[in-house]
Amino acid sequence: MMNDFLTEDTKAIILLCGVFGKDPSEKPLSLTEYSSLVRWLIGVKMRPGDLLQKENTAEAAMGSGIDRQRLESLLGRGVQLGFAVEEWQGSGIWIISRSDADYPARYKKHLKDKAPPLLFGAGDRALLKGGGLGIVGSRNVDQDGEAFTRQVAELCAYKQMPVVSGGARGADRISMTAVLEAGGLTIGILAENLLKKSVDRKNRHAIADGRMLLLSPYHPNARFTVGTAMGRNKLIYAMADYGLVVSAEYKKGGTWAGAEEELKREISRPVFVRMGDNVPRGNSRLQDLGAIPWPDPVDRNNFRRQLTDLAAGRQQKCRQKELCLFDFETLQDGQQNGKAEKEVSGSPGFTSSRDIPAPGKSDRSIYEAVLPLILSRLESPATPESLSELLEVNRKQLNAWLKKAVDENKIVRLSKPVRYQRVEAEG
Amino acid sequence: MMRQQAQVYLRTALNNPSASFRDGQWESIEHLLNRKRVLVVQRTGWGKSMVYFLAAKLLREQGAGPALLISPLLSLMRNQIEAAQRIGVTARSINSSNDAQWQQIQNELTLNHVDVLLISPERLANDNFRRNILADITGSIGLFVIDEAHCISDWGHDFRPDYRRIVRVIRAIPSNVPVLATTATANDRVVNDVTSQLGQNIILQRGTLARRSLRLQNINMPAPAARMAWLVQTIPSLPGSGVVYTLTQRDAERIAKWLQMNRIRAKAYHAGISGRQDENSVKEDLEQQLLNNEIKALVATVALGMGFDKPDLGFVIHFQRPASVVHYYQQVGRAGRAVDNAYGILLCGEEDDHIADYFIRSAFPPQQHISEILKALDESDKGLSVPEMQRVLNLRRSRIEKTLKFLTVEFPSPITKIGSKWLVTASAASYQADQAYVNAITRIRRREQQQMRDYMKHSGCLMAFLQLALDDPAPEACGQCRNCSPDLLPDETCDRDLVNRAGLFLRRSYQPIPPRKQWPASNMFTQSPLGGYRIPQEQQAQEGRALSLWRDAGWGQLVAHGKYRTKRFSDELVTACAQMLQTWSPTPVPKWLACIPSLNHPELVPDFAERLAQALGLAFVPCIEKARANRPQKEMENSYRQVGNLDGVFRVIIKPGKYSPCLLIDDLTDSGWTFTVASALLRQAGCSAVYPMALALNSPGMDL
Repeated sequence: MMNDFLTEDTKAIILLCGVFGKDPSEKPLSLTEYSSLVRWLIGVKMRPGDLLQKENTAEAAMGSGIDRQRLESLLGRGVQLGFAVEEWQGSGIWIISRSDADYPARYKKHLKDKAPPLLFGAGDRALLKGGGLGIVGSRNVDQDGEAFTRQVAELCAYKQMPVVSGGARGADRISMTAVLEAGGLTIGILAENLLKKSVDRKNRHAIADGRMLLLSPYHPNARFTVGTAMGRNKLIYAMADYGLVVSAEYKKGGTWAGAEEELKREISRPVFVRMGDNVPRGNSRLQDLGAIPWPDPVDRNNFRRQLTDLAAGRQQKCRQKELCLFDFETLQDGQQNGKAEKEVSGSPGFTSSRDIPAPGKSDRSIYEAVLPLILSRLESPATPESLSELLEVNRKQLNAWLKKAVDENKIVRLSKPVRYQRVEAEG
Repeated sequence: MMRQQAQVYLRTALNNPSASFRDGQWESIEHLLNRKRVLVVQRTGWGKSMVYFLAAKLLREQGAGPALLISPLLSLMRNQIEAAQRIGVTARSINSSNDAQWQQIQNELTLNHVDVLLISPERLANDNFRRNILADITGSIGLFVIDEAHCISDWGHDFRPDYRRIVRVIRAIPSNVPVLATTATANDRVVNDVTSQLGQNIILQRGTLARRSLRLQNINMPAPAARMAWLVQTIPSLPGSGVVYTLTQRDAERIAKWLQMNRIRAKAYHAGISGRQDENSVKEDLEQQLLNNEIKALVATVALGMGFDKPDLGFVIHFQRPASVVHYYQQVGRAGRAVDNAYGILLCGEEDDHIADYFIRSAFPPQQHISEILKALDESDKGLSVPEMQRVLNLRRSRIEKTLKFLTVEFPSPITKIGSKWLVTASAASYQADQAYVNAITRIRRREQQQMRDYMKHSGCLMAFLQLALDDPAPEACGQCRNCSPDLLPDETCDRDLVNRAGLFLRRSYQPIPPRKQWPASNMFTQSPLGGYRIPQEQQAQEGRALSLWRDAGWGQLVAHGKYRTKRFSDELVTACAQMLQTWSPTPVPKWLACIPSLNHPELVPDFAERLAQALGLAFVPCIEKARANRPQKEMENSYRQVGNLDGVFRVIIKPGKYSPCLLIDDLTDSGWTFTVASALLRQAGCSAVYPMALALNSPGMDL
């Protein structure tokens, strides 16, 4: 645990971006400002530590467009930094910067210049390699949601996958507690009060056992704000291999915003979402945005594989995103010649009647034409309601097709509530 | 060019138009201007303060922020601060005695009106200060200065826990802040340790330690009374004013009083002296009196130490042998800096080894205290404050605080403080006090003790011995110490009559027993008819007296002998107590005696009280009974436990009524709670005043 050594680069980054003291006379650099400074540094082949040389600040100010006096007074906080760092490290908090070798590679890769310049942490740094399942959910979770979260977390422990979460009330804490109780690992990405949470009894025992890592882009005594809570969502997804939304309120709160942000990312982490009759509306809406329904049943033995396959399936679907029934033929063409793909995904939404494609040659009925699309939506169980909404087709017609598909053993009907799922070919 | 400017400042500061830099002074300043780190090892008086005042001045002119000086010297560097003022350097000090001015100083800092800010290392130990004051005022510090840097070294003679924190702060400070570390005393080992802790690229600036005007003398005088007599004989003949160092607070008080009785203007100075008079702290006031030669001697523990700066100090006498040569040199080296003739006399007594052993043994908190505290904190849900720990642990407050302090400077620390509560951190689970480290330090302390014994016996030049021990590159015979030139020094015999009087004085070291005014917490009693938080006036005891200090020179040994060997207190003690009462003469006069009962020794104290009553011609009424057995009070380590252990234990068996004042006798008193509870019960029964009287007071008193 004696990792208290800080490089001059890291010290410089803390000077520039760190918050210490109650009432800083200069505002530390924002992520954007810091990134523009870094771009300039890279351009002139310098490192953050070089900014400690007084003669470099004037140029740096010009190059990055940051006020020179502000840079100077931020960099002049060396003694204050000394006391702050001593205080943090003494309480078992370590600090790493983007320039450090053990800074999580996932963050740099996934978040690019949005990766936080500084990370404060408590716990075994080896856990920084991350992975596993990021579990998020609103602060208020109902009983179903709680039971679900617990089950998933236990499964993660069983599969030795870390649970990455936010340490807040609700789904976060349930998942982290459950995975620890089941003997697994967890990474908490905190929006507030790292120090206080690191000495909480349950946490500190898990940290001491090397089974918990608490991480925060905010200084160890930071208070909760909506901004800090929002800012760490992407850090949860980026730290994990997959994300899982337990419950999200539609267009409200951090869970929704965080998932939406992730799903809109060009290369996003696979985001799963809990489905079922009683899930909040946000959950199904996330599915519309590309979230993958959490598999039911879960294949305990090939869990990882199952998630990877589903994620791969979604990648596929990514290209079909926003398609409705009438785009179907184009898609088929696209799949055949691989060229139209871009066009199609580039022109989402309902197209005009002029563009209605001709049916495929082999199709003898509309049923045969739409079956592949229906099947593609039934990787995991879905209710007829959600399906009809998704495919924008009248319920009565859809039910007729579904019944026919059940008769043909293409899909199965699950009950309580009524859901359909496609029959997978083994292998 | 810069150097010329600096020299102009130097001359102005020193008020001396022909002054020039000492060897190494300008070089040190120059390194600091180049944002380097410098360690200056130079004897006191060389001019270390000029280095940081001038460096601060020149850095400020370049637009840097103020200098932060961590130093134990505080406001008593008044003359240096005046020197700084002459070159327009404004210095401010933040310490525990001027908290009323903090806000104003903070404002001045914000306005950039302060050039040098002084803070004592002890302030850094205060979490609240660090987090709420320091964190806010250090935003633009341009130079970091750490005085008495030998304290950084684990192997230094008075390693202080707060300095461990300072080392880590310096390590975290980025390379664009110049750092200056200064000390007057450091041998090679300490210098190496300090350099390795502060970073290998620190530049060392080191000079010779010899002090030509100092005459060293060692005298072996086992009996305290003999040394006390010798002090009275010798001090008036010594030049100017000086310092008498003792190892304990108790001795500082006692020697000061003895000197006063013999018409020598002397005052005691130790860490236990606190409080304020007007704007200055009492300690500051005492320092000032010595600086102004208003007193002949300050009788002090090491609390009068680092940074005390009186160039014309005429003598430094050690009443007991200090712990190490480094220690000794630093203290004796305060004498004769700016005078031609000064005396450094080391007296060695029979108690020295005993006291040194005590300090070595109690340097680190025992593992048991560490484990108990960590366990209690681990089991608590929201952490514990110190008073809460006192309730759940049988540890005295000072021990709890000492252990907490030790643990907070461990790294990473197993505990942390949030608000007023202490909590364990994740590091607590794997925390183990480093026993090898503790053992290594203890071995070094033993070697240092041995080196002091060797110094006492040394037959060659004493100054050369000290220089050699401190790795001075060029030790040479001084020609004026006890061994070089014995004729020049004070007589080493002492007057028999004076020795007898000193012995008598020691036996009359009556100790006041102050009355308690409040219980440790409200409503602590479930059985005894006592309660509340404040003890009502009509239940309080009067101030009492103890005949002696437990196991101390004087009567202390005889009391111990009676209690444990003969199981009867001798008649000498009866006479001594009667004499004490005569000297004390409390009013209203006590008319009868009662005593504290004991089930284990039912005869010991009543027998003594009875004989004392006879000698005084008063009645002895054994009117307090023990209602139930309890654990020995001495096993109770803090006031919660001590009072809790007394609940329902005593019963007063006289009818409620009106009773005249009484003496309440016990053999040994420690925390005083037994007296407090028994007195309250007697007062409730109608006794108009209760005077506690004990044969011995068991006070820690071994503090510095």
